[in-house]
Amino acid sequence: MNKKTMPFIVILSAALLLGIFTGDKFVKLFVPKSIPTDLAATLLERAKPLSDFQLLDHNNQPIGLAQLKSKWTFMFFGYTHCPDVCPLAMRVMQQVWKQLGYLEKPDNNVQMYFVSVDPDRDTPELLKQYATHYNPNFIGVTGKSDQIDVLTGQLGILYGFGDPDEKGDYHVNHSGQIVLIDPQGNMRGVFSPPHEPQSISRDFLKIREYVE
Amino acid sequence: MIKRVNKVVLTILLSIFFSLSPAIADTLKITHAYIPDAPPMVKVMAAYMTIENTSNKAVTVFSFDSPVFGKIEIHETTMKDGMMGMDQLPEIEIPAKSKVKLKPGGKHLMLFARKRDLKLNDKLSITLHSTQGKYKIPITVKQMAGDDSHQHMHH
Repeated sequence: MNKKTMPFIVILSAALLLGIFTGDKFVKLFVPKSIPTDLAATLLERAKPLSDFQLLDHNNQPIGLAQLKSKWTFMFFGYTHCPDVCPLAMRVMQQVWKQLGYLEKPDNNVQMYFVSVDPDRDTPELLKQYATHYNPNFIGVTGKSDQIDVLTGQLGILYGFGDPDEKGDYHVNHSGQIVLIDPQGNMRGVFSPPHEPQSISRDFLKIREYVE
Repeated sequence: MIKRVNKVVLTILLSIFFSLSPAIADTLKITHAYIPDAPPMVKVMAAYMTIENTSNKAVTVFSFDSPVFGKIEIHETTMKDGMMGMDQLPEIEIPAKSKVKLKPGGKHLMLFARKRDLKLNDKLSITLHSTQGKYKIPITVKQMAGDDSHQHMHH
């Protein structure tokens, strides 16, 4: 044994001793939790920190990065003139909320946002009626197009407007993903359609267990 | 005398039965028709149903109307370039001895210009027009049923 390896041996022994005394905590500190497999959701292995954006909730209160902190956020993007895909997603989120509530009682530390990408027609007042119809806790969000784009751009959400008909009605094509944001304001996961509420609830719990 | 009366009654009953019977011989069978309950501020609603063609030849469904809506269109939700969109369909062809399901996330009816408010459990009718004639479909406002019929959660 030479002088150079000696300090390493001392450190290693100290670490091992520490491990013996602290037990579980040692394991938690030094052995990374294994990434949950068998997820239907896409889990981002590296959390993607989001930068701030300035939108309005359905009570005309500002919604930005600050409002995403301390809770897990489910976010779906759509528009209220959407008869099929958006009500279906709202119904899915309604059921996920219910399932999480069954498991964890009312304080489940989760919030659900419906973000309208059609601010010309979807005012905060209309969004309030829309979002709360599905669950009184759901939050409708919209704002200026450039700020919507700040958020959608970071989350990889796409949307585009169709040509208006003779009455000025138009469709909006949009991504169908439900995005999951962690309480530190990082994008963490994506639930792609077709959505199955049960698998979203189950995957969410696994992702949260892994992250927290 | 009694026998004769019986015969008359029977004839009347039979004729009533046969006058109603086109329903039994109908080519199209429509089931699971519903309009998903929507927030009252919503301008456009959807309708879903299963249309079964019990005959040996294809039937084309080309339009729908209803006294409660100004306009009904047939649409299909599609996925293009990573985005969900909708294509209007001019008609739905139902091959012989098969069914077409109008369901959330797929083919559906778009209901425009609603003439009155609709709430959960309201009943109304939508008429289907096809190459086999028209069918008046009773339809109810219900909670949307996704492919999520199992509410039970394993853990």
